[in-house]
This record gives sequence, structure tokens and C-alpha cells, in this order.
Amino acid sequence: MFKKILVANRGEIAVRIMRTCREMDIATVAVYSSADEAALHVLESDESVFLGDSEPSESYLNIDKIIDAAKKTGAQAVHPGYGFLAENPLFARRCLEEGITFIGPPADVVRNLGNKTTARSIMMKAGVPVIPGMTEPLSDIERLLREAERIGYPVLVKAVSGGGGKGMREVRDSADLAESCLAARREAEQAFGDGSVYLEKRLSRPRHVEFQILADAHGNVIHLFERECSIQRRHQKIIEETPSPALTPELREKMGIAAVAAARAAGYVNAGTIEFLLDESGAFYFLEVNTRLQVEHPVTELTTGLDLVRLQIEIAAGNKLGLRQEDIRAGGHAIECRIYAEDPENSFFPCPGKIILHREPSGPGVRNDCGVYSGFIVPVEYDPILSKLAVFASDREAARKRMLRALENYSLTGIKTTIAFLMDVIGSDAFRLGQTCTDFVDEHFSGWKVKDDALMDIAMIAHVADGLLAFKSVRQREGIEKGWSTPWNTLGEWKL
Amino acid sequence: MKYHLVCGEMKANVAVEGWNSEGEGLFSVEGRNYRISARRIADDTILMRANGRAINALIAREGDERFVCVNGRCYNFKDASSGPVRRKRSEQENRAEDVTPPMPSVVVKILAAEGDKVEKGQGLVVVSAMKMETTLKAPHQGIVKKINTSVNARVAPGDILVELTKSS
Repeated sequence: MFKKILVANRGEIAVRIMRTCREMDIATVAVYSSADEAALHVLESDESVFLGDSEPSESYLNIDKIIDAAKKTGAQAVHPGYGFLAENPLFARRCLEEGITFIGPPADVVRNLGNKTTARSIMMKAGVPVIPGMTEPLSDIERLLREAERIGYPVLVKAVSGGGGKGMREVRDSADLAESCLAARREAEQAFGDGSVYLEKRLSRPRHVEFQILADAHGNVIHLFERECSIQRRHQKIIEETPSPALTPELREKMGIAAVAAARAAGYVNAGTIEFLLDESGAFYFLEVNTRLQVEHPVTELTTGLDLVRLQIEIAAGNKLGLRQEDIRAGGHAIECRIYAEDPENSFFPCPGKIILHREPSGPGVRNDCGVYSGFIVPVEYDPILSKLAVFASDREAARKRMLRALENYSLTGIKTTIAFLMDVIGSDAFRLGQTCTDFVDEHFSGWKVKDDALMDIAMIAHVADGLLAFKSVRQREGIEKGWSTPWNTLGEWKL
Repeated sequence: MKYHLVCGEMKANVAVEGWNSEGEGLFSVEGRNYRISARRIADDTILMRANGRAINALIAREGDERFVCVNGRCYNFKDASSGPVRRKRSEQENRAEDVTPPMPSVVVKILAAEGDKVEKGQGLVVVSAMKMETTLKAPHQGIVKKINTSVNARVAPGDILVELTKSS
């Protein structure tokens, strides 16, 4: 097993990876930029290496600097987390060349699956259903128009190298196709350095259902069931849960078999996610493979009892998967809410700044994967995720109520966050009934504002009470110290 | 005791009756009554019961600002003596005519030069915050009088990045 692992990431995911390393007695190396000198992932690591300026190209995206850091510290393996270099085949290849183990799939697999049209071809050959559409990118508008006619409107223009909704356009009418293709191409060129686009059928009210898979280097492939990730804003997930309220046991089995077939067809090794779209008729289509640890992996960990990061590390070390498909049992229900530094009243604009106070919820079935603390300044340069609050309970309704309770107990001030928005979504009838599709936020929550209700009254009362209690509440009885910092001197008389 | 509080556009009167040393009293917010018992358990934490329901309130101070968190919602209060004020909304209204970023961000591109004549809605500055780009547009037709920023500069809400003269 590795003695030391470098985590080539930041924030909550770097912290989460390091925690498993610690449990495995593996030393950790953090890397950081000038914006992250006091970041939690640096403070919680055994060693840290400064990379450079806050721009990602000077730090977390800089392959040379990260390789140097691994060599300098003697790290035998690199865990890329998600985002940044996690799905960059050049980084995976470079690690291999430098004799450092990349904790993820082989570089060729990352490259093939990162190209959407190549991935579609691989899946079609393996008999995995794909969304009707093209398997080669095209730039000729006349031919794109003919393809769109063949597929049938509405269509989606998608970037071959795309992700996160960038370089994507919905087209309902042939008159708009040319312009949308050009716009998508420009956006993709800027975001991914590759402007090629292709067309895919736009499904009506689809759900986003993905399967977690695990594959070792010895040909064993299993899946760890699904995650339902339909609730999204800006084409990015914000609430995930497992099991999906939309899957019957038969459909789950069918999709699981397809996911394992997809992983085998791609020659996959390590943990990965096969994303599908599921339409209202119960037909499902391959969407893409995420060749990394997913943001939403905690819900799978909660229902299966497995540690995906530990399994990733063991697979990367060449170990055989000690689990067969029939060993995998999922029980109960898990939900995850992403706490972003964003203003949900204002189109989810990112909202960096100083966190004045941060108090995490706790209690039965509550897990918070968090990368911030009171006083931390959330930098402008990076993804606005602050933490991922996940809950586990015996069934969906119990998990839903538990999530509401946990969100109520999450106090985070100084910057705008998604907490109050998430509470309204989780508390809504549509969510309670499991009516989640990818249009959910637009359909039920567009133009959302914080409710002006009794809670505002309570906040004002708390504000006034804070002043009234300033120097009065502490019982300064004989033998008790002054101050109000602990319940010992504030709870009054009581016995154990 | 009576308090006059301001919350965004909302003004409210909070009256307290019978406040005692046990931290109990009857609060009335615009005639809505709450029986409150409150106890401080930490510098920043007050546990309350409001009409028999438990409320966990966190109160943080930063300069003259006060932040109150109750049940997952946060309210931003400014200077206790003038009452609580929810910041953003009113500030944004005042600034509708200014070219200023909606959040702390970094300038990516400047799309206009001093002396340019611009149309209403024309892009002036592209800023980026946390991987998301936003184009700040001209609020009205006019001539670019002054550009107060440069590429890679860090900017915050309230910074006027481009000054426009109104052309009539």
C-alpha cells in the first residue's frame, strides 16, 4: 500500500480524501494556491506544498508544479478529486511516465470517455442504449440541418469536449440551428479549447439517473446502484438521492447490467459513474461517463456502507476488488444537498467572501463534507461549493424530514448560500412526491425569494433578546466563574 | 420596552413586556405575539422557545454588522441602534444605473474604451467569479467617460468600473 498520497485538489473533496488516507495510515500532501494559504485542506494535511498564484493555471491546473510537488515530497500516488485535473488524460499519462500512481482510470480511458462522440460509439457497439443523435462532430451547417431533421426537433447542440452545461444549446426550430451551433462552438472553444459540436435529441422531462461502478485491474466490474440527480440549477446538480424514486427493482437491475456493460466496453478501471437519462416511459439512454469520484458519492457510501475513496486507493494499488455484485446491499435512503456560496434570489450568482460564522449540523444520520470554517475567506477563483450535507434514514420520507432538520441546524453567515432555498425545495410537495426531473427548479422555483414569514419575526426577536441577554443571563453564583462560554455556568442547577 | 426595526423595505415595531431575569418575556412584532424564553449558552448562541417551539439562534458580530441565523435562514442586521436592515436588495436598487459587479470578482475583459459611444444593453466589462462569467452591460445609452479598472483587477459590488455620460 502507498505510504504517502498527494491530493491534487482543494476544498471539501481534498479534506474528505485525506480523512480516508488517515484512516488507512497513509500520509497526506496538500497543494495550494495563494488564495488557499489558510484553507482547511492545507491545515488538515500532514504536509503542504505551495503551487503558485490563485489562477488555476498557475496552481491546481498546473501539471508540472503538481508533479514537482509529488516528487519533492515523495508521494507515491496522486488523488485528483473531482474537477481541475481529474479528467485530464494528459495529467494521468504524465503521472504514469513519472512513476507516480494516478488514482483513477488509465489515461486512454479518460481520453476516450471525455470525448462525447467517441464515448457514444463505444456504448453503441456494446449494445448500451444511447440518446438518438450523432456519433461524429460536424461543422457544416447544411449537414447539421439534415441531421437535425433526421433526429427530430427539439435537439440539443452539445460540445464534444463539454461538461457542466457549457457549449450546450437547445434548438426547437430549424431557423435557430445555425446560430445556436455557432454560439455553442464559441463557448466550447473558450471553455474547453475544442469547438466541435454534435446533435442529440432533446428528451422531454428526463430524469438524471447515474450508476456508480467499481472496476479493478483484474477484470472485475460491479455497480453500487444508482443516484438520482435530477434537481439541477444551471445544468449542475444541487440535490442528489439514492435510491431513485423512479426506479422499479426490474428497471434498476436492467440499468445496473447496462452500466457494468458500459464500464467493460470502455476498459474501465477504478471508480466511475455511468450517467443515464430516463424518460417518462421508463426508457433509459447513456449520457456520459464521469471518470472520477463524483461530488455526490456520499449518498452511495451511506446506503452501501462502503468507503469509495478507500476502494479507489486499493484498486489503484493493484488490489483485487474483494466484493462481488451479490455482496453489494443497499439499505435505507440517503439525500445530499450541496451548500454553495451562491445567491439563490439572484440567478444563483456566486457569492464569495468572508464566512463570519459557520456551525455545522450533527445528530443521527447526518454527515457534512465541508471545506470551510468560521473566518475563512471563500476565494473568487474556484467552484463555489462550501460543503455537502448528506443524511441517511430508513426510508425516503424519514430522510427528507431529517434533511429539513439538518438544514435548519446549519448556520452559515457572512455570505449568501443555498441553504434557505434547499429547505424550500426539500419541503415542497413536488419533492416529497418524488416528482424530480431536470426541469424541476425552473418549473417549481424560478424567481424564488426568501419567504417573509414568522421566521423574520423570530430573527428580530433573537436580535432584541441578544441585547437583553448581553450581561444578564449568566448566573454568577458563588463558586462559578464569570463568562458564558460553557453550559456549565449557564444551565443553572442540575444533577447528573 | 419598544424597538423600531427595519428589515429591507419592511419596518416593524417590536415590543417586549415582562422581561425577567430568567430570560422570559412576551414579545409582540407588529401585533403578532410570541411568548419567548431565551437563554444564552455561548457567546454567539441563544436557545429560545417561541410559543413553545424550540429555536436555535446564532448571532455573530462583525464590525457594526450583526448576523442572525434562525432555522437555516440568515438575516443581516446593520448597526443595532438604527435597527436591522437586510442589505443587498436596497443597495442593488440604488445601483441600478451603475456599472458594478454583482459579486466580488475578477475582471476578465474590457469591451469598451474611453470615448466610445455605447448603446443601452451593450456589454462593457466581463467579470468572472468562481468559474462563472458575467457581462456587465450599459444601463443606458451614452459615452464612456472613464474606465476605472483593468484586466485581472479584483473588484467588488459598489466599485464603479465604467463611468458613462448620458447622451441625450
